[in-house]
Amino acid sequence: MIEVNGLTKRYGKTLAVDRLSFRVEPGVVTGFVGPNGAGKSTTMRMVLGLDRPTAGAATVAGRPYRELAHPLRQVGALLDASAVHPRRSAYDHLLSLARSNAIARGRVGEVLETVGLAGVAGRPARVFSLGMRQRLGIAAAMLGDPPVLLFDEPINGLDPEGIAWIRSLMRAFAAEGRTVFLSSHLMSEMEDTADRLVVIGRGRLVAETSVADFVASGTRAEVRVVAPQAEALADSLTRAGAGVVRQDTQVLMVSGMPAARIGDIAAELGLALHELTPQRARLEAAFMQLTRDSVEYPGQEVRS
Amino acid sequence: MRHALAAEWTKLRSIRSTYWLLLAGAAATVGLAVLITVGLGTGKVEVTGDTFDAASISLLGVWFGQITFAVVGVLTMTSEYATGSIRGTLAAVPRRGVLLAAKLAAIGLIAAGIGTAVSLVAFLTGQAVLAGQNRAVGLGDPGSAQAVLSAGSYLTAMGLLGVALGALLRHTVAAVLAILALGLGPTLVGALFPAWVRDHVLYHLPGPIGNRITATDPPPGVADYIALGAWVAALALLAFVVIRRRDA
Repeated sequence: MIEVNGLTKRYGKTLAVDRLSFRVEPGVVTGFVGPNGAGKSTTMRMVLGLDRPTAGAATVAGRPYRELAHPLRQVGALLDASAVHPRRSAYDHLLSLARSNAIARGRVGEVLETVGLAGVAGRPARVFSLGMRQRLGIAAAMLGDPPVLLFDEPINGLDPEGIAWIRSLMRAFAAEGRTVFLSSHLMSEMEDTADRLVVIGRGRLVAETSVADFVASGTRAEVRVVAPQAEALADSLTRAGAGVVRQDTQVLMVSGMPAARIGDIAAELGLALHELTPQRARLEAAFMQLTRDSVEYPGQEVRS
Repeated sequence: MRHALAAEWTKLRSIRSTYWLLLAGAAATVGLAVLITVGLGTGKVEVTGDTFDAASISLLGVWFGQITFAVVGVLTMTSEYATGSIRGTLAAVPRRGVLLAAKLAAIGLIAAGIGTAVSLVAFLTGQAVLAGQNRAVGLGDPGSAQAVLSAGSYLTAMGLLGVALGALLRHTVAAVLAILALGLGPTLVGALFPAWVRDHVLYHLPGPIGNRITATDPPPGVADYIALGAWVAALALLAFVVIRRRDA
C-alpha cells in the first residue's frame, strides 16, 4: 500500500506537485496518468525518498521510504531504465543491488531468468537495446520480491511483444496480491492493464477512481442501432425517454438507454434490428475531457 | 552499513576502469621512482638543496600516482550521477549518510591497501637503484618506514577527498580539477604566488602536506598528519550535509 498525503513539491516558482493525496491499494493495478509534465515522476521520486517534499508526506507500508530497513524487499521500482552504468554487466548491476539489501545472490539469476536476460547476464548494459534495459530495470524491481511495485512509464519504447509481456506481468503481480502502481502519459495504455486510476494534471489530483467509473464519468454511453425501419424505431425510443440521433437512413445513435431495453422495445414493435452495439467510451476521450483544464502546455488546434 | 559496503565493493570490482586506473597509478608511482633514481646515477637528475633524502626521492612517484587514486574516488560518486544510477542506488540505500560512508569505506580500504603496497614497492625499487650509487637507505633506517606508510596514507586521503568532492560537485571533470588543484596545484604553480600566500595558504593544502610527510629530513610533524586528516574530515562532513539535503 502506498499513501500520499498533501504531497507538495515546489521548484522555485513552479509548483510541480500541489497538495496531492491518494492511496494505492494492494491486489490491483493502479494506473497513474496525466499529461507530460503533470508531476507523475516527481511524485514517484518523492514516494521513493529521492526528492524531498516541500510539504506533505508519502508512505509505503505505513512508513516513509527513507526509514525502510531493506527497502528493495518492500518496494521495487523502475524509474529510468537507462540509468545503469554502461560498462557494468547486467549480473553485477543486480548483484550490487542485491548485496545492498542482503538479498541472496541466487535471486539475481532467478530474476534474470524471469525477464529473459539470463543469456546476456555477463554483457555490459551498454550493448542492451532499450527493451532489454527495460527488462533489466524490471529485474531490479523484482529482486527483493517486494509486495509493492512502482513503474514509471514502463511501456515507453517497447515493441508490441514487450508491451504485452509487461501487461501480463503487471496483472500477475496484482493477482499475487501485490500493490502495483504504474505511470503513463498515454491513457490508452491503461485500458487493458489498470483496474484503478489516479489521474493528475498540473500536479493536482483530477480523479481517483476505477477505470470503469472513469470512462462512465467522462463520456455519455451510447448504443449504435442499425434498423431498416429506423424512423419508426427512433420515434418509439424517443417516447421511451432515450436521446436519439439519426446518423444515416438506417443508423441511430441512442443515448441514455441500455442496449437490452432498446432490443426489447424493438421486439415489442416487431421491428428488425441489424445491429445493436454499445459504444465503448474511449478511455482517451474521457481522459482528455477530465484533464483539459489542467494541461500545462495545450496544443493549438490546427485548421487548414 | 555492512551491506552497503558490500554493494560498493561489488560496484568497484565490476568496472574495468577501476583496475586500469589503479594499475596506471602503481606504474606511475614505481616507474617514476626508477626514472628519478636512475637519472640521479647518470647525472641527468640533480637534487636541489643541501640534503639527500633517499626515502623521499624514491617516493616522488606518489606525486603522479595520486592522480589515479583521486580519480577512482571521484568516479565512485560522479559515475552514478552521470549515468543516473544514483537514483537506483539511493532507492536501495535511502539513508544517504550510510551510502556516503560505504563509498568512503570502500575507497579507503582499497586505497590504503594498494596505496601502501605501491609505496613500498616504489621505495624498495628506488633504493635498489640507489644502492648502486652507494646512497640507499633501508626500511629499518630512521624515518623510512614512516615515509612509506605516510605515502600510503596520502594516497588514501586523495581517494577519500575524491569521493567527497565527487559527491559535492557531481561532475567528473569539475571534481577531478578540484582535487588536482588541491594535490598538484601548489607544486605546479606555487612559485607564481607571493611568499605570503605560499606560506599561509598553499602550505596547508593536501599536496604540500603530502610532500612533507613523505620526507625523512626534516622528519614530519604531527601537525601535518592532523591537517591531512582534517581535510578529509571537513570535506567528507560537508559532502554528508549536502548529499542529505539535495534531491537526487
